Amino acid sequence: MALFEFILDGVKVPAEDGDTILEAAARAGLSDRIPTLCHEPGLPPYTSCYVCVVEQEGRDKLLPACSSPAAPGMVLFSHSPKVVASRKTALELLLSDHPADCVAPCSRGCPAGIDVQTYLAQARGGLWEEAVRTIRERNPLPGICGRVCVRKCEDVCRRELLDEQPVGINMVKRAVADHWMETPYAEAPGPDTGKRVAIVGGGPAGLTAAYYLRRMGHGVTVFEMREKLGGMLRYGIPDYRLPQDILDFEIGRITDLGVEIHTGSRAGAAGGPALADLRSRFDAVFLSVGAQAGSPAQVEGEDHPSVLSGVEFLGGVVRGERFPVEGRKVAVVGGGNTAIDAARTALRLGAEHVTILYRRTRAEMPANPEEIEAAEHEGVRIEYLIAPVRIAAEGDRLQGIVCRKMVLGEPDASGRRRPVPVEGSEHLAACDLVLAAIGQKVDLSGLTDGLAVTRWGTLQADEWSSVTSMDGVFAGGDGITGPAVVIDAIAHGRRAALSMDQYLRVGAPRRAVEIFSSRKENFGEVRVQDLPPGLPGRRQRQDELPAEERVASFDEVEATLAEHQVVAETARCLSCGCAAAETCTLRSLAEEYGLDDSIRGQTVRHRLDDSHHRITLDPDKCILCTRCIRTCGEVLGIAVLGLVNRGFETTLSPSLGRPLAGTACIACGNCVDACPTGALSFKDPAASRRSRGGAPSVCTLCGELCAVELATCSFGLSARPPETDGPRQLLCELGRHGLPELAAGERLTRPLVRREGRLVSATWDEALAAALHGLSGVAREHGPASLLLAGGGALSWEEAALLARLGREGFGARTGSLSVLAEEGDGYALDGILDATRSTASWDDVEAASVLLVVGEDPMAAARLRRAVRRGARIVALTSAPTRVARLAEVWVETRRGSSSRVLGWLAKELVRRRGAPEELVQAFPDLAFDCLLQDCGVEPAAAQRALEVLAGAGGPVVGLASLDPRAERSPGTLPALTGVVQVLGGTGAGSGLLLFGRHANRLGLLAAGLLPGDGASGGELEAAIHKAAIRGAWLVREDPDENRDLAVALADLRFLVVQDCFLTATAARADVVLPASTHLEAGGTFVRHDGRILRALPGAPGRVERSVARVLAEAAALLGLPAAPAAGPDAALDRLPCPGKVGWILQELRIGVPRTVHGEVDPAPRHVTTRRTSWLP
Amino acid sequence: MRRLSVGTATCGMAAGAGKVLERLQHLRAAEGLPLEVVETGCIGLCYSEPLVEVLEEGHHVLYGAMTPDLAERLARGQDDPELAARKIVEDGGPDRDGVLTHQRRIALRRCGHIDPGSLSDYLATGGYEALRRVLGGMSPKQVADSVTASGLRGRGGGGFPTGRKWGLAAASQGRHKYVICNADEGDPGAFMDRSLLEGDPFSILEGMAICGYAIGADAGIIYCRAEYPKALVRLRDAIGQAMAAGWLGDGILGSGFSFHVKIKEGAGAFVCGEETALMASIEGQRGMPRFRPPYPAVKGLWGLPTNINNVETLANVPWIIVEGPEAFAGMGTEDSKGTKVFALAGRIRRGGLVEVPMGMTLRQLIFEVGGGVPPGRTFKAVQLGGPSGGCIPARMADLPIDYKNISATGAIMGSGGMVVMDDTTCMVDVARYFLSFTQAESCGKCTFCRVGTKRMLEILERIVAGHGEEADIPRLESLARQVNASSLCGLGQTAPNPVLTTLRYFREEYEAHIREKCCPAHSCSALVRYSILADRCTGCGLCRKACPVSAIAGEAKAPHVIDEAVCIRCGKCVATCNFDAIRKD
Repeated sequence: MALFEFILDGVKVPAEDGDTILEAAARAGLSDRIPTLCHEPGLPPYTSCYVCVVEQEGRDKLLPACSSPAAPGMVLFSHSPKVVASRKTALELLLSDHPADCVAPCSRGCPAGIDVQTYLAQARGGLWEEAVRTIRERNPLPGICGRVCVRKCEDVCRRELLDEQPVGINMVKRAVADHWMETPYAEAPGPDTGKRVAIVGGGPAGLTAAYYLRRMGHGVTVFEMREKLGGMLRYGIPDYRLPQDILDFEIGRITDLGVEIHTGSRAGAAGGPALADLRSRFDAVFLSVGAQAGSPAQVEGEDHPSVLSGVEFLGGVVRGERFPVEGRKVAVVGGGNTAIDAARTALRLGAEHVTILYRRTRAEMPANPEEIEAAEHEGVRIEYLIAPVRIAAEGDRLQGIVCRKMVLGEPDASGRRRPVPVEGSEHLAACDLVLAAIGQKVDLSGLTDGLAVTRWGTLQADEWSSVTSMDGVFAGGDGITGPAVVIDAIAHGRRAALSMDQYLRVGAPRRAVEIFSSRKENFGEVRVQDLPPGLPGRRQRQDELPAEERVASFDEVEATLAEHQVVAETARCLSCGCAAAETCTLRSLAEEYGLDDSIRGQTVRHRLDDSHHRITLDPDKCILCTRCIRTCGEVLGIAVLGLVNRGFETTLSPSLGRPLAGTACIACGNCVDACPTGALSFKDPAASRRSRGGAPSVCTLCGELCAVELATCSFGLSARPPETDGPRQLLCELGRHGLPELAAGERLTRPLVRREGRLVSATWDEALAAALHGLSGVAREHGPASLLLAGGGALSWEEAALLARLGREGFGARTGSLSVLAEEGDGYALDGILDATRSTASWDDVEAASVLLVVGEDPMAAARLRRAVRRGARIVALTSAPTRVARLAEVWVETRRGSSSRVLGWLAKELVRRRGAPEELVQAFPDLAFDCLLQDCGVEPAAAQRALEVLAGAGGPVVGLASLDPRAERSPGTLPALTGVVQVLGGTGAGSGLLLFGRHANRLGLLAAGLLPGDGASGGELEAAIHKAAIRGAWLVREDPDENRDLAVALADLRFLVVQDCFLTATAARADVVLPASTHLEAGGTFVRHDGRILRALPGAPGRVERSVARVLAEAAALLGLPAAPAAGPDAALDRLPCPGKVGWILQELRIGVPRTVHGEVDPAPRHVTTRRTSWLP
Repeated sequence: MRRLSVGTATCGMAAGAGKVLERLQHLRAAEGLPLEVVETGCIGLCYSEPLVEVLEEGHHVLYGAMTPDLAERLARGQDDPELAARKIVEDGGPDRDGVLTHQRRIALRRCGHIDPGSLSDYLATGGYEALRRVLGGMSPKQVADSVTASGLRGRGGGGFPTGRKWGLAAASQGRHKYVICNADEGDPGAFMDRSLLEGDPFSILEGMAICGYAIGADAGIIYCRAEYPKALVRLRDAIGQAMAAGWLGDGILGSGFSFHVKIKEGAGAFVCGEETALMASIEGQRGMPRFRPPYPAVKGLWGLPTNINNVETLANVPWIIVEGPEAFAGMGTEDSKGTKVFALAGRIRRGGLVEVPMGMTLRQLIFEVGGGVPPGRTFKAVQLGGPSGGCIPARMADLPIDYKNISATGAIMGSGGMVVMDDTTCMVDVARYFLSFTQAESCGKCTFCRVGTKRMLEILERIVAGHGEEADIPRLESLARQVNASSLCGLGQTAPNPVLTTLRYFREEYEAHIREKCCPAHSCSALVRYSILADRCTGCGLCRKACPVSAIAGEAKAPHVIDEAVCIRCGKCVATCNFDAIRKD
């Protein structure tokens, strides 16, 4: 390999012959400079996206870095203008054929940008706290908004296309918030920054700003002119819509964070602070003064004492003022929500007649249609096309309003048709009280000193940064927009808080920016057929009080949805937003290269494939990088996915355009990991949230012990393969979905003790005492050898060591592992040959081997074997069926089931003959004439001959692979025969050996911890003891021998049984004491893989069990009087154990080392398997 | 005995040669006329198919535009003025139209002259002489050197020096090596390879065997599209005969050299003519190109060294071996040696297949060989190189044809498709047409080719529909350059060529479409207007009857009028009017 250098952006990059530019740059840590969408590390370059292009000095054409070979001395630029332009165009083109949403329309429609889709899904899954946290990331007043919001989110909800009714988003928000009221969670302010902010006005904008500022650690003082906080929420919205207790609760959650409050203090007025004063005393000032003053009706005589503004009236009612309403006629002028509120409040105060006069028609009425309807139900009359002309009064007594009829004319500036008076239509509408609710205005008196004001009388401020004309003074809410809705004020409050935060930290305000989002609407009208298939279901309705009951009190009219209604309503959500929105490479590149979302062109529309139980395929989001296709086909060898059609219509799909369900898919999900966009996503929202990082752990659900990362998102725990720069790490369906289920399933949490034949709850101490008492009794009666302490393959090395110590030193009992015993049922085949039945080669050896001899099948093993084949290994496979490995093999020896040992024996003997190896290696194998291969074993002689040739011609290391899983294809004698073949060929050099993978995860770890009998055939002795019924009492940790019939029968009649497990297994159900067990997901631990590699799991899941397995075992040991570390808990006990991180220690204990040469001399040096994945070492 | 050869290549069959052949065979079989009736390939005079050549006592006469009746008269030995008028060429002399006279036929030397199904015809015309010489004493290196010395360049489009390509493959190590004959001819309007395969299949096999010997390959694969059924029949037949006679197979001519040839039928994807996609297709994968390097000579089919040559290239090889590289190099220009076959099509009087020495000018080729554009029309441009090529304007027609000159215009030599255009051709529409072809034939792999060409096509469609906007031209140009620069294979890299060359030479036509919403060639249906000139209209009513949408109204013997709102601009009225009274603008 020739080494050379080239220059990338002025940096010298070392490279070797055969490197592509991208590979060399990645190795030099410069992968950030060259983005790519289609390159899949570890696979040959594909070169389709053309995003990775770089410019070479002196060359006109750009080079795709993923496939262009690096050459000595080349001078490259990763961000030259030409490169940037080309990348930008490539991204534009990709996005012009990407009729998909990054963010759901509801989120985009919400002024505060609440992640609606997420909280709906959380509410659906019963994750109430997570749901309210999601809402409160953007809106700290969910219960208030859940009652009074104008629901811009629902206006744009796509569900409406499907069945004419949007998802009841706001109803769900209210339900979530009410749940929160019942079970509030603790929230703390951020670490103190020492900065202080004054907030003028305690309405929704001010309260929201206060909340986020406190969360960011800034000090907050609120100046509120009224007696209580809440602004128009409290003084403008009547109780039957928004009860005071809701307000008090949600405001309380904000003030609980530590907010200084001055009520009755109007800034800029007598008794209140002046603006200049605030500016000097605080680091920043936020003006959220609202639009509090009712606008005058501008009709003659409106200064009459019986003419009130709507807000004056509503606020007065809240403050307990009395109005002469009972039994009177009330006229309300206006058509907004305040008019309706005033009318309905008047009814509740006992008015005889309430009439709303509105100058346009119902279609133009700005109030919520539901509110209008409710008002009518309650008996409010609404007269349309009526406008007041003047107030008619006789002294103090009001006669009524002189009105005029109107007709609609041409549209005005607001787009609504302008009402035009009808000449001569004047008439008197008799009434006793007039409530003028025609609008509100901003009252800035005393605050405008030095501040710019707009011509509409509002504060001049930037809507996105809240910056005013005065340094350090910010403003938001109705005070800058004029009367608007609650959610706008909340949105302003949060934006202002973020802006002020940046101002306080770095001296410059922050302008809220929207990041790039693709949207379906840009590609034409969204039609029903463009929507994912939604679950059927009509919109839920909130229960309402009957109209006659409503008007009798100020009780809340609408009821919160019940839980089953929440489930039904949230199920209607079509989940329009992309699961990969946060992780999509296409989106982040679009953002980085400054694309906007207006990119469009003709597209080919596809149906979303929702058929699979785990994975969703949305071809509209696919950029045809084929990373999934290549991962599935070339890495895993399954080839479920492919491209169909050609040219612009090319589509990612299973063959012939069939649905994903029903293909050969093994649901491993590695395609989703490979997808740079959201074209492939997991249905499980926890799994689909792909963000970097997580706690390193291992999957213990089979013997592969795959490395995983545990990450917790707001949907719970997910397990996924660790991110690497090199070839993709794999995980199967079991690991990806089984581990979270193990962590979150219906776990045992309380100890159980059998009393009068039934298992009943007990305390930990009671249960532990009962366990020790019971087992000690058995030991006294039958001798300590009648006791067995056994642990399953899922135990960590630490747990196994504690269990072994408890058994051997505490009780003098036998120890072992029943699950491993069951696995080794065919006689400890290699104990006599290798000291233990275990691997002597690693996966690294497999990948470097020249020939691989494989017996049986395993899908993930097949993926690794494929990698070996790509590097030039030749495979001989012995299976009875055309399995994946068989298809991968150069020679497939089709054997009759159960005859592999004879075929291997024949191969070994032939190889001895050919290579002149000592006969004694193969003496044990029966003779089998070549002619009998077909007859006895069903093997085609030609295949046997070819296998022999490949093996005999091996020019490098040979590794034999077989599974220890009892269900795997294997016959008695297979393992010795396989070992024989490998030994005969093993002389070819280091790297040869056996790789045995089993079903039980930490088999070697248990061995190293001293739990297994170890050393020779004592495992067989334990088995014999069990079958002779010599075992009378047992403590089983995460073992369920009932899964194995033989053992279950033999152990059915124990005198005393203690079971420590995560779930109430069949074995646990008949135990005398049941102790809940922790898992390594919560507790961490050390594991030794079948190839000798040591993996360390760190705790990554929330603890479900009060006492971990390790703690219980250490406590038991202490109770039995074993010396414990002085005044120390279980942690110290762990510390005293030999350090599992010392690789050499374990290897020494295992005495890993196979006779390397067969010609008399044995290589004395123990084999050192070094762990290359250093990050996994403690 | 009189021998009558009927040209039954696909072009002849399309023109009715099948019926002529049938009549002649009937005369021989049923009436016992003393005739020998044979089939032959395409001689290139496609404009006057069906062709029948009469050979009697060493005297050859070629007749064109034959019908079964005329052929029967020929068979009966009659001679009359009608037959005389159809006589094209006699005894190798100058031909009636001058089409053959200006040609120099090397690749096509046997086409139309021999029975392609007859090995003995092939041998009688010097066939397998080259292979005999190669195996009789030339080293592989000498063979490759000869080809290098001849200056032969790849005729499939790339123009890579063939001898050098062979040298690279010869230098690569591998358990096996392959020779692939690329017969996936896909350019619309190009049929050089088809005619060669149909007219002289043995020469391709011979060329492949020589290549195999030169590079050390023992296996050859002909990748031929399934839409060439006749070529496939001829090839299969030829392989069978060559195997039986020992010209293919193990130990050819008693030497140590073995060579087997198989046919792989392609499913008709244009991109499979690209060598890496072609190999993927042979391997059973989706036909998609991959990045080069590694080049096929190093890592080709099944990862083994592979040499891929086009049909015409291989057809030249035996000639070069027999006649010597100097003879080949003696023809053509400094840059490009030998001859090139062109398929003449479009607005040209004598369309067909011609082979001329490199260095002939476009004007000579179009006017002297092809007879120029139809009467009354003006030569405007020529599109060279198929959909990947470009349009060369009339003012550059005196350019001598060679690789260098053609590339300099922005077009490419390509495989030899040549579409002639006159003043009725809209150049924007030409660009749109060729781009719609490449767009549809993109394999869908690269972003720029898959989406970029689609967006370019949308712009062109907008322009010809009269919805173009000023910014469309820079947008189109910038996209075109980026598609060219950032596509993996030749298809994507060259797809913008028709757009770029028409923008370069005919920009004003684009501008007219966009600014004036008019098509200068009166070709784009959305932009033309038909009107009736009242002073010429006699009110005969023919146009009214011809109009499929009843857009024309008028009293008999009074001038008619066209309702523009109804008119679909099909042009049928113009075709039916006998008084030139309908104006198109």
